[in-house]
Amino acid sequence: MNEVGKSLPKIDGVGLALGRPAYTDDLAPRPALVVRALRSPHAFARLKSIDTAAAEAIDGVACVLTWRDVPRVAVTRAGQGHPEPSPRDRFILDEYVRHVGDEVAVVAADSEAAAVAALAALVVDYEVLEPVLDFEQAEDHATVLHSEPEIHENFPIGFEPTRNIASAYAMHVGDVDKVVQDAEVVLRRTYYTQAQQHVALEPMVCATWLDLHGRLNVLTSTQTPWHVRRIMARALEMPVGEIRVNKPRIGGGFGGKQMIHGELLCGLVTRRTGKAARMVYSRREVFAATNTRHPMRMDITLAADRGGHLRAIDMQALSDTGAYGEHALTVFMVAGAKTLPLYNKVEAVRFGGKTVYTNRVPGGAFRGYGAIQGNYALESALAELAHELDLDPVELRRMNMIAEGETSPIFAIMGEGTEGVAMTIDSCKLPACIDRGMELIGWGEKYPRREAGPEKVRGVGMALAMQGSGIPGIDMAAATLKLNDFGSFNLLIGATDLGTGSDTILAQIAAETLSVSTDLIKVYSSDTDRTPFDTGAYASSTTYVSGHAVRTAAQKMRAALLTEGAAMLGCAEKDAVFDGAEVRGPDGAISLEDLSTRLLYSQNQKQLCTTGSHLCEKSPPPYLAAFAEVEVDLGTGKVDLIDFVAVVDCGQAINPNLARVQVEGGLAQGIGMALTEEVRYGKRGTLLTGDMMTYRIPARQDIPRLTVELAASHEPSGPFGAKSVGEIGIDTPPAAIANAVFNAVGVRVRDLPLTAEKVLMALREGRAK
Amino acid sequence: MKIVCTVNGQRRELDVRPMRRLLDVLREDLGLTGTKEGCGEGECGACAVHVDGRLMNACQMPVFQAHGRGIVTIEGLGDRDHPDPLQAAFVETGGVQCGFCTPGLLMASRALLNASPQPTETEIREGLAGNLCRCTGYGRVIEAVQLAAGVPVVDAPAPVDGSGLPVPAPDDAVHVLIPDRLDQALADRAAGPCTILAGGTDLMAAFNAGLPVPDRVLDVSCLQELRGIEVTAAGVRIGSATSYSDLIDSPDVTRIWPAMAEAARLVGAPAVQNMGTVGGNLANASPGADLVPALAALAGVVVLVSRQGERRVPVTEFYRGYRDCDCRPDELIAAVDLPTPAPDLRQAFFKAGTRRAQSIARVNLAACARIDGQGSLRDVRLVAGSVAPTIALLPRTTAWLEGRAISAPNLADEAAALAADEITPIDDVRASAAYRRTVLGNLVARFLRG
Repeated sequence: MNEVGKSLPKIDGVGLALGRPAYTDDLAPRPALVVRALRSPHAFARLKSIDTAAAEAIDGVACVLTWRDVPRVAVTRAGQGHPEPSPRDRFILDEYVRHVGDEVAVVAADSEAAAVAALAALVVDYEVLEPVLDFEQAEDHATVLHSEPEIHENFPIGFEPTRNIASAYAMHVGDVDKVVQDAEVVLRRTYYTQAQQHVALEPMVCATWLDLHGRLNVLTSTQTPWHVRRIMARALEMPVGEIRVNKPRIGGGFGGKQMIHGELLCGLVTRRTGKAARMVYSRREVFAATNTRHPMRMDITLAADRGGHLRAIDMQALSDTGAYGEHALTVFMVAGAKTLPLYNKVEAVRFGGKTVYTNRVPGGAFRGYGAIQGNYALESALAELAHELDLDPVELRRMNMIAEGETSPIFAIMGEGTEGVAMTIDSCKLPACIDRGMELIGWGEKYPRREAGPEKVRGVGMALAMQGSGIPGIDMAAATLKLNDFGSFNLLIGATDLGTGSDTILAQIAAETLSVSTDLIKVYSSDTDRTPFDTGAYASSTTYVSGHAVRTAAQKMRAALLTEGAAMLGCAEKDAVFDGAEVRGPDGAISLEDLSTRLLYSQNQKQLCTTGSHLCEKSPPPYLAAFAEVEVDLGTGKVDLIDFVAVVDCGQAINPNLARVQVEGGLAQGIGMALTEEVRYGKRGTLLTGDMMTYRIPARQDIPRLTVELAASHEPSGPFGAKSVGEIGIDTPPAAIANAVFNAVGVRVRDLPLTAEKVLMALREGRAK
Repeated sequence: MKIVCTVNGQRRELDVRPMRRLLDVLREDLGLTGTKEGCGEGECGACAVHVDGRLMNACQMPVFQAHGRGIVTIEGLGDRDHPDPLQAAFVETGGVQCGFCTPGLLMASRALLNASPQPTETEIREGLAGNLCRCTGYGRVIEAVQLAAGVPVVDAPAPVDGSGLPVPAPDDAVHVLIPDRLDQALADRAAGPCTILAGGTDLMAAFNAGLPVPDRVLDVSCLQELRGIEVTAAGVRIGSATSYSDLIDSPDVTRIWPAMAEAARLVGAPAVQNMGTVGGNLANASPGADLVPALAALAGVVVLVSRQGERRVPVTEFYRGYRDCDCRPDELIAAVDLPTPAPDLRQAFFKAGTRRAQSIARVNLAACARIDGQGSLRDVRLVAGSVAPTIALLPRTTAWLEGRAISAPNLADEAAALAADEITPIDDVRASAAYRRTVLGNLVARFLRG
């Protein structure tokens, strides 16, 4: 292979490093109306009245919209495929506000100052209602968040809004209760994971305007242009064909931009005023009014024999979706679906529970998507079991984990809110990942702990993870290759590069298939008018699903080049070969440059244009073995990460360097979830962590040198042997670090994050005993 | 207001509202969209630019302060034909992912390499501590800086020929007073209520978060009389407009007052250290300020000036309550004086924050003591931050320790218990009261164990 497997620099890297205009707000038209939302100060309230007269009278104010002014159409902002597995429980604006930061009204003005003045001039009479703030009390609470008659589920997801239940799910294989009853060892534990915010450095931004034809153009920082278009069309009651959505470069997504944010409000302003509009979220709005990771409580029961062979796993969870049910069911299911198959030797397995509404910032998609929650609980519980059995935690995993050629019944049972797809694991290099990871961290010498100076102790811990590669039976991607004169190609893809480098690796796949150099492939992506469809950048799908579509388009292009080349050479197609530079027949050759130019200008004139599309048929998991070394300060409880090793099986990496950075970035985000990041609320539901001073993402000095290696692997079903790599990096740090802290100081923290305070207070309690 | 500056080597005459953020003027008026806004409060570094060769956050600088200065943005760092070696290195290693933090990171990296052409990995981590990245996990960024280290560049912002002060316009909504002499500043101060602006690191973030911009702003950043570190045999006078970076860079401060140098190093990250001032930290009166406990423990005295003359208030007596300090409406903080400590005085500054850089302390402690010939503790001073509405002096613990033998059994544990007992901290978003008590005690013990 010449192009695949090479660590080419990102094709947009130079332009970005030069600071060229690239992102939505760099490119948004000026002048444009400034759109700002008035946000609720209350966790739950009815809007008794909104007096807009004073605001509308302010010079420069173009429009003020309240719930009375917008179409009454129930939608979900989840940004998923059609029909969505999330409840349609939201309106552009509503009579009720359901969390601090929820949208009360929207203003648009020709300057920032006028917009701010208009917000201040709105007079709102709130009927403040009793909020639901504790998700463990939400079910059947006296306060019901959603009683709107229009809201509904698209298919059965267990939606019971009158009981504050957004979704419910249950599955089982075998008789868990019986196995638990008979088992030699039973371990029952409860773990809690917190709300985490994506904190992409670029906030949510969009701009809208009407083009020459009166069509609504949307430039937006999104991971899902087609879902944005479809959901906007529904919410604004206009035909899909009248909307064009285009995503330029985006400054990080991590799932946060799978959801729809300002697009509905901004689009409505443009529809009402006919003017261009732009909406840029402040960092505070990002925290208060977008989405977080769903917090969960996980009750785990493990049944095993004394030798450490797992016999049953029961995982019962409760998930908090906040004020709206975005991704309520699917994140919940992934907590089981992308953790439990890892230990497929069990006789019985059970998973289930509910996702409830509370008056908090809504949950949503976030890298890891349930798997990180499940992983923390399961991998912590396994470490606790190993400790109880006095077994090496690595050995416990080796004894129980899935292997190549095996399967799990869970694959067929659990899908994206529906049934899944059965599959056999054709690539799983976990044994090699574990061996190499142990070597890199120095497990033999470091496990479990060593003193590291006065008041400092170091310990090591580990965890395994799996993820998926796209959503089988649902995710579909398409790509078009267009031949240009003088031998370059346009690659038009619906896939959405959210800073990951997917434009680059998809160009590499096209180049490899065509045997040309990657710089001949000119990529244009994510434009609902000008590129073919793609479900979007989520569920670890781009390399595996979009990559396949690109490969298919390129194979077709290669065949077309052969056909046309042979025709020009006057030979049979079967006698011609194409090597990337020229089509050669028995009696001569024609260069790609010459062939492509003649096709457009002088001979057999036609446009060569090929399209491939690919429906994801299975979802081969990537695997990862992680090893953490921490140092605990006994005086402050502070946990410093000393070393983190991750060895990944992501199949054949299309671009090894970019794959490694994906894992490193995921690890860093997982480390933040493990140690410092937590969305916190005050007594009345106000957000205490509404800015980057109080919500702490890891800075450079918090992240040690991360050691990431890619195991040699090949997934037969993947494009050039590739599997996904975008999400798996985030899954292991919480469990690996929690396990390392336990090994260091004997303190088991079962609720994230592992703050210095929790560790110190637990240490003190331990001493008091 | 009319101001003159250079931007990327080009002279610019700008007619701007003075309190607009430099960031907005760069992006909206000058079309230099490479500089990004990530947080609007100086936390993320996406808006970092060079001002007279120093790294600063464009979201924390009111544009009038750019007058007479040379600004370099990412667009001025290099172009496609002549990229800065750092730009090439970031692309090569994969240090550019989504790219949104990249311009700020590159500006920080360039400032770092200009100051330290062959930095160690630790220096790189410190130099880039104020630039958050959510994509890379930072490893590739560090590699990129190492790759570009030592590659020579020409980066000399052209000098500005705009001299004198900015010209206010009659329709300026905010009246910004920009005196260049102290007597004028004191006259302005006496003439009516005003908000004093120095480095802007706290105020500009507060304005961005919705604090109304006051009608009258008095800028003290042009007062040369308030700037500088003057060391004599008796002690040091630190002008109130002196930046944290000036403290960190002073070999005298590091040698003679290491606890203060350590506190300055733990404030924010380079861009904030280049902008924030000693006087600003004193006047802001935040209970979580890092520098203030160190100044108090080192027996600092605040020097206040007004048209009535000079007044001296020990730092330990400067605070009357939460965000309330003993500075009259006609006074300015001119300086802080510190005596030269006894050569055997042990000094330490500890900070327990959430992460290693750019964090507000959950507890901090500045501690000083010496051990006399008999092995007894003398001149004990313990000053804690973030455990009370203002700095906490721990008088009972200090009195108990004074004269006690350092080798006394259980000294550290007993002092820890005393210290934990004599504070009444609150629960807040950063920590609980119980945690603060425990950690403060442990930090006192840590100091005593040496």
